[in-house]
Amino acid sequence: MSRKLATSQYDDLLCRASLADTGTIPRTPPLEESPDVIPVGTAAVLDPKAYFTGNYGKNVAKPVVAEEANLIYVRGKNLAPAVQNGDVYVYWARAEDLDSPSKWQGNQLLTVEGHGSFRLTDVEPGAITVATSAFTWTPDAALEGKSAVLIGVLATNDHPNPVPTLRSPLDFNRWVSKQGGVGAFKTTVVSKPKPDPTVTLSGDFKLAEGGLAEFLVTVTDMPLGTEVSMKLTTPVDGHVISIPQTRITQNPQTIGVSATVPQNYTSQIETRIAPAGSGVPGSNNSVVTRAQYTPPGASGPVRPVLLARYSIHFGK
Amino acid sequence: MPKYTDMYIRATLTDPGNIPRTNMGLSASPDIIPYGIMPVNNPDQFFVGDNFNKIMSKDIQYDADNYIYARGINYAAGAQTGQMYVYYAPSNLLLYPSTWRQNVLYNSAGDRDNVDVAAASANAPFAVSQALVWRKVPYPPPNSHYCMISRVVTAQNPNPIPNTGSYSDFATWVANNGGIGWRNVTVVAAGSPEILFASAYDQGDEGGLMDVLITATDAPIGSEVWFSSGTPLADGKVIAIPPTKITQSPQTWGTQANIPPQWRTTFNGAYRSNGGTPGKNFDVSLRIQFVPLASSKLYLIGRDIGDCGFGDFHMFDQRERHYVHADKFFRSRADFASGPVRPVLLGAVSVRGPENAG
Repeated sequence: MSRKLATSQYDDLLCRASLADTGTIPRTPPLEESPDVIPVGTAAVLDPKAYFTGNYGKNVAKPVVAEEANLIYVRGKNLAPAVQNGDVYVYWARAEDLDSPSKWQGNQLLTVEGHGSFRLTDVEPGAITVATSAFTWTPDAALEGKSAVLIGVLATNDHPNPVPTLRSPLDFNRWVSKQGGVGAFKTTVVSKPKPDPTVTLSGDFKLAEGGLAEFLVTVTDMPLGTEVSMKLTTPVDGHVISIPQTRITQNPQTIGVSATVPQNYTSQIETRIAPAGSGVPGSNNSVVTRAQYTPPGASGPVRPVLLARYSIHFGK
Repeated sequence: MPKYTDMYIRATLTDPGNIPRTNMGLSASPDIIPYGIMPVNNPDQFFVGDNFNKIMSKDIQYDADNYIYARGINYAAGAQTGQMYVYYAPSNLLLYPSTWRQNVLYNSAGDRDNVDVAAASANAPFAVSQALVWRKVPYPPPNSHYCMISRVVTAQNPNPIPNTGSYSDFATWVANNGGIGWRNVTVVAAGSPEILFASAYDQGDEGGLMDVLITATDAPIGSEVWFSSGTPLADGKVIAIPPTKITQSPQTWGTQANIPPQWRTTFNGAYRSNGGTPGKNFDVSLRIQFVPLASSKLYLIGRDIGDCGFGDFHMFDQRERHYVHADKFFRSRADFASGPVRPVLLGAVSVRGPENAG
């Protein structure tokens, strides 16, 4: 014979355990999908009150990124029959530490203004309330790929929802199920995106006479494996003059292309350089782009005319 | 001891000009002058006159383009001309001229490895009229330092450097050659730029009043940009903006120059982050533009200055010797009292990325 649990309706500022949570205590799983503890990335929300009230029916959390200052907003709904006031607190915990609050109670997050809590005032019955100052968390690199939980606490005089420091070990989920003012959001900390190391050197090219021009890129003292490409931004008869992405395998190395351009041709020459991930450019490194032209009909030794020369050197 | 009778490079400020040079240090010639990352106006005047009897050299900036000047005094009986060359050598290779003779410095245009020098009369000091450029100076090898060697070539004394072999005693060679100078130099690493870029420039057949600008976009506040060319204009002045701190994005710093026809140079641009992190749209651009008067037919092909992406834009006022806001700068010319300023872009080189590089 099964025993039915006694239930009650939470009558204070509710921080939902999941989208399905309407305030019935105890709350039922899932208990770590709170839509009211909301990491949003690094950019502040322009009008948090309007934004988080308007999408109360959705979970709008974004990934938490290691080594970046993630902003976390908290919202709640007043299920009390009277106007209510309260304070918002936020903690973070490793998922495996949830049952040991002594390991995470010190992980209290501060608001962007540096305060430990945000005051909610005069919340009307039935109204959605938003902590309009975000809390900020910069997970260190060791948390990359690890599960972490953000814990939001809406503390009022009637329900202070204190972190149960004296009871250890704690059954975290059991505790959350009974605390209508506590929301937990479990997420995986993602890696900081690797910056794109590509450098683009761009310069003008003009050839009033038109004719056959040569475009050369010489790479010196760059790590082998560096990739280089070149293109002229103005197409000729619908074709783009370019050197496809080429892996540098020698030092120095020159790659080139020749093409006939029409009279009064002008373009940008763009040389893209993606330094190899490993290896450091040598002290004499350079990438030099040249455009040259041999006037037709010249006799004697071929002496190309230099039309453009651009170079870049990467310092330490 | 006989006195040297041609264009002479001093070993010390008190070097009397006798050959062989004796009782003096030979490795600190005051006539080889590394002068840092900014060129000077009229070096053939600046480094003679009151400055001739002063040590003018500065430390050399590692991993940057450094401007090197050279000078001397004419002990020929009358006016004399020559060509000045400058070389660099790691100290451990100083005895092997066949190796360092390849390390000759070129002028800013990159088309000559020497500069003409001229002395109007006997005993007149002389100096190069433009810099030679030591590009992206490397750090000296371990337990070594760099030496610089200057060499003045005249019809009477070409002071050749051997193609092969070695000196048994470099100091003796310098002591016996009045047209040779030797200076040991110090390379300092602090403040080196992260990015150096360069663009060949040819003014073509038509000279004019040009603006040369450097624009930084999405560069960290507190970073610095600069550019220079060591090729003198007709009045002996050079075009340069010294290292300038970025305080906004985008931000542009410029100067104006009257560039003669056929003027050729290489413009060197540089950027150093000073520890800041650039944003995703990081871009440093060097541009040359011409601002036609409103009455010019070229005015219509220009682009409204507000649409050029210059951001916070300052021009160097040559008369006031400080920067003024570009709008004020251009509108001080009566022709721009009303109507938009519409520059015509003549050339540009830019470096974009790397994203978020430190």
